[in-house]
Amino acid sequence: MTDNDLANGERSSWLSLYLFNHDCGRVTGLFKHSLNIQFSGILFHLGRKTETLSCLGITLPDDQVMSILRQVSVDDQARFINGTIYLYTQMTVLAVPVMTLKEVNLTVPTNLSPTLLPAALAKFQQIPFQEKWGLANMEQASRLSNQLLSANLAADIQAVAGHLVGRGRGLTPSGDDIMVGFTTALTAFQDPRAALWRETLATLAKQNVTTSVSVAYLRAASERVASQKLIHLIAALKQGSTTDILAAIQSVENFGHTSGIDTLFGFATGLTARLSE
Amino acid sequence: MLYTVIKKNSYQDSINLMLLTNNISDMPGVNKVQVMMGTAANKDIFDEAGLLTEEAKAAQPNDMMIVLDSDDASVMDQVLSATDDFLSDLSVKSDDDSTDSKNVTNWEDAKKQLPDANLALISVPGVYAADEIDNALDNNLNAFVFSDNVSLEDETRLKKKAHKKGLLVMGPDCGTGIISNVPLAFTNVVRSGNIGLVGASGTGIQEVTTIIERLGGGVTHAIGTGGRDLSDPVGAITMEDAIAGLAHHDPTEVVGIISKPPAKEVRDDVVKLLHSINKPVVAIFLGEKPDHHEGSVYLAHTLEETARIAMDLADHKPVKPNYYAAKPLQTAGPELVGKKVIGLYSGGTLAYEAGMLISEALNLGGIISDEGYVLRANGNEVLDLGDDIYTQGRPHPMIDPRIRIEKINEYAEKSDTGVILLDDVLGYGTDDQMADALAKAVKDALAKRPELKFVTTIVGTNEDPQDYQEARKLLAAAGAIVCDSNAQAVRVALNLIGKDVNEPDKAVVPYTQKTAPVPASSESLLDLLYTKPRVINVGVAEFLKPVLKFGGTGVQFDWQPIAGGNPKMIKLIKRVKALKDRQTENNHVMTDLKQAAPFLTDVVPAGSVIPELKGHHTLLHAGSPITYAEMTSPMQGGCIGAVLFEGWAKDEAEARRMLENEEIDFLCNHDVNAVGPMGGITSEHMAVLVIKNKLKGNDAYCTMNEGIGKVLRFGAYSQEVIDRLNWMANVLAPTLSAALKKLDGGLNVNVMMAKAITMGDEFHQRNIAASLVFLKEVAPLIVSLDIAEKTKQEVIQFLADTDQFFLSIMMATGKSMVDAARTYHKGTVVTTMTRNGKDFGIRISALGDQWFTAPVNTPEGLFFTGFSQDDANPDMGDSAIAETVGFGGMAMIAAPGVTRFVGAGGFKDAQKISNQMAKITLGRNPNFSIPTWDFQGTAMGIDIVKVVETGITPVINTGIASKVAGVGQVGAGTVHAPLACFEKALVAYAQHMGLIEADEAKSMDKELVEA
Repeated sequence: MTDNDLANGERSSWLSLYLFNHDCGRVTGLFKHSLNIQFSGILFHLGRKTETLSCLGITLPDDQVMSILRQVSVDDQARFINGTIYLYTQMTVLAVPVMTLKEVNLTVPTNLSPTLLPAALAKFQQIPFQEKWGLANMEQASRLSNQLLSANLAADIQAVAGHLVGRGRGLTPSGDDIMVGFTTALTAFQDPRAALWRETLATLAKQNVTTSVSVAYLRAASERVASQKLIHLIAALKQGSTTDILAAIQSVENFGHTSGIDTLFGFATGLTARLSE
Repeated sequence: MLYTVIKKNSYQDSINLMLLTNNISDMPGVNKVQVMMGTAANKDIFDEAGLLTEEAKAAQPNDMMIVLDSDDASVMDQVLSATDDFLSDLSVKSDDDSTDSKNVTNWEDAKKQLPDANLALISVPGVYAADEIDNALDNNLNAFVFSDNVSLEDETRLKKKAHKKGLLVMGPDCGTGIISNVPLAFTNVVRSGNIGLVGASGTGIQEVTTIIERLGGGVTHAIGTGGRDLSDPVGAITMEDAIAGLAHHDPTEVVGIISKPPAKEVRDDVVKLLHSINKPVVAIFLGEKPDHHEGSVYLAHTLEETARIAMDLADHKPVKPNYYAAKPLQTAGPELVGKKVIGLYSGGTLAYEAGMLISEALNLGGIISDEGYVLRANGNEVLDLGDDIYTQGRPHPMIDPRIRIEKINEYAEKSDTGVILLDDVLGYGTDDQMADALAKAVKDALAKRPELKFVTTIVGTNEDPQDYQEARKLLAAAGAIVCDSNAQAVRVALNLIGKDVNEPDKAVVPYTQKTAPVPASSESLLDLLYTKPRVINVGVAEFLKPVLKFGGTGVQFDWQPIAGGNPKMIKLIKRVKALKDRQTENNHVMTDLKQAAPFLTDVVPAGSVIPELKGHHTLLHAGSPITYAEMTSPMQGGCIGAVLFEGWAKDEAEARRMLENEEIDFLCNHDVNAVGPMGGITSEHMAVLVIKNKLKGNDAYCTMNEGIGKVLRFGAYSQEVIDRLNWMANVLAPTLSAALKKLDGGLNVNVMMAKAITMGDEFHQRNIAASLVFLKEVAPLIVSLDIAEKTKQEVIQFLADTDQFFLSIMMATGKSMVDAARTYHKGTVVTTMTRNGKDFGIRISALGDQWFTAPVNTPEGLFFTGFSQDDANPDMGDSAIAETVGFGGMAMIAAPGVTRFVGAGGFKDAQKISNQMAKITLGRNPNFSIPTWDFQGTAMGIDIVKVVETGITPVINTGIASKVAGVGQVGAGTVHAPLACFEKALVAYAQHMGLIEADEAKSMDKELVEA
């Protein structure tokens, strides 16, 4: 494996800020199609090329990811050396190229075209969030939407965020996904509240209040970075056709068990904020 | 009383034989027994054990010597039966294995099977190891050399050669290694990690890697160098190349070095290199007590400290000033104070470490190396039971617990023994039940002396084939104190007798000497470090299993000493094989053989085509030159018959007198373009077949087959025989001659043979198909002749009755093929094989008409009713021309019908024989493809180099003559050509090519004659 050229994938532009030569890590999560490696500065995500590029990691061709998944175990050591992540498994050293992969800019775009937003909103309004999201009946969707939209001051935002953080189940609890979607939308639309939300998320990310995966995404959102699916949606809103927008929404919606829906709920709420101006 | 059995040509590797010896030693009635191959070194061991009998003295390196000391002669039968069972179990296992891995027996096949091999794992007897390392390097392979007893001179030469080629020689005497997480030889299973080790000590590497694994770390490469790599002559070639390699291996972040203190200059060089690489280093020069660290090179005192420093470096943590507990690990046992510490180790480096720590703590003046003792002072003794003195002729104590149990009992009885230290080394290669055996011995000893203490350390990991945790439990349950490392075990032992170690803090001081650029590593070395090894496993088959299990690939090379283990011959083969034109020259000979175009053109009186016979009292005989007096009885009988046939004598008595008085001259058939079956006796008026090889236009002759029963070729000379010869000369020959003349250019023999080989003929023992094909061609011609019908009928009936008629056509064909090829005087191809009943003679392409002879063997096979092996005459006849050109025994697989008749067993045996013959030939003859061999062509072009190298000699299918003249054929079977004539030819060839001086050739020849 170490001699294979796996350079046929993509890496998040955000990585180079948090992954440094000789960083030590350990495999902390093994999933059906991806894995997480906890380095000191980043929870690194290795996913399949046919799925979304996480702002926290890279994608590789599906067969190579599956081959890696077959060989690694949770707790295997990892080192980032000279642009490659080495995974030290029981039987072998796997070399995962990082810096030779194509870099993808996952910084949230801004200056969206207002003309395209109503079409998106119409689509969002068709999504039965209350039925499909991860919070079930723990919250009322419309009430939560209002809470998010009406929090303008730092203290109000912290209160809403404090209520949502870690709320729900899974690797990325629904409350966190909602905040990531909402903050990303505010960032994209250059909403005046965006900075306060980003600060709040940055603070929450430093506290031990949610899962480590969520922490990584909250921090990413606080640094104007999002996963590729969300970036594609924003890009579609910026300059794509209605078809592109609908496809991008569908793509986010399909992500994870409820993660995509939850993120979309947050994002749709942010979009409402923009349109209500 | 001593009883000896020598099993000729029964090679087994030494580990198998040690296990066998172990297995049969406990049999009832066995006082002592030893099984080894007949090498000079092994004979010394027998001698020392008082087992070197006269029979054993005479054994050859390829012979298995079994010497039993017993009061009862019948015990030997039981020993032999147990030996057969043991070896047959092994062979069944090996057969099963070989189905998967397709074992090979030479380097060429190994490379063919694993073309991208990058590592040879060599575990052959030491005396042959240097040659195999050389072969590995010549094949551009890195070498991991488990074998020991390689001279320092050879080691130095080979390591220099490897370095020049960018290759690594790990060893010799390298018991342990990990390459890309593949455990090699005696090695533990350790997870991968960012630590890379280079070690000149086997158990040192094992102790450090297993502690790292148990601490949660990992080691990807642990490169063994062999114990003498850091000596002055070798100059740490392997260690320095390995360090540079690890410096260029990105996944390795920490480098660890394990060695005994090297020579000063070598140490300076190595240390300079360690400071030059941009990775942190932990180094232990076991025996030195460092008082500081230096720059990025951290110096450890014990193997455990080495592992712990490596772990901190690997985790990017600061190195601590001290890794030893401040307080003793154990309170002193008042009853043990003043008692002695005894170390009974299977691991050499562990013994060394124990000796060092005990000596330091008790101020005993350092360690020694004396008859297995590492320490022997004031009653404190540490023994390395893996030392040569304990392992000559018996298994290593990591495999066999007996020597340790003996020593435990011996020391436990001594009243001043206070503590006994033991190690149990787990991992591949070592015994699975060692902990159990040691626990039992500990328990027994403690039952007798409860105040005694046993302190043990187990070198192993949870992934080892043995159960590490279970081993700990067993020893603890037996009453032993089980420690996590050897250093801790020694400290506990010292604590028990009221002593302790002194380990001061170590500070880091800057390195002030110069550094140097790190040499670039070769592609081969980087390939070795960055990929899973692709291994040619030369020797002990067990070593291949972990390679395959841990992701490597490999091929098993079932090694046997080449050239029967004769060191001079091995050297000669190497030199001959290095001749760069030889292959082209041999190809030239092969082309002539393949392109032969033999045609049966005529049948004539011998004297009309062989001038040497015309008008002289001269007879031709089979084989190389021989006098009448030297001939065996059947050949002499043939001579009598010929003299009577020619009318030179009126009766047998006169014929005998003439022959005995040397009134008859003799010539070899082969010297006059002829061949003759069995006795091969040919005279002026006998009819011979004429074969013209149209490739070069040369003719060859052979007398016609007389049928079976009483015939001249088997030594019969009664009137019936003479009458038949007359009929053949006067009726059969002219008829066939006239028939053949009706064809333009004669009868194409290749076409007949190509048909017949697909019909089950191999042309030596079975010619029925070819004889019928011949009859099919010639019968219409005979019928069309203007001769008496009665003659036609007689001739056709004779041909129809004579199943072996074609044998003589094939023989003359073979002779015409080799004579055409013999016009080119280069190469090592056998161009003639023949036997005269006394000697087997061969000629080779480079040396023209020169004969190389050795005493013939006697064929073995099946006998006609009333006859047995005792009636068999030694091997005789020019018919081995069949095998010379790829037929007969060489093509046994073509003729399943005769395999049983010639005593070659069943179909699979025939296939095995032909496959074996293909190992000594240079190529295939596409003219004669064999359906039962998956349409491969006949194996042709016997190469003397291959014969001598493999020890495989051609198998000849042959009729068996009675040793009494006149009786005739008594059976049929097979016989092997003797190796010595091929060896003699090789010596002569080497001299001819200027590779050895005449006197050296003469002395080798003399040795061959004496052997």
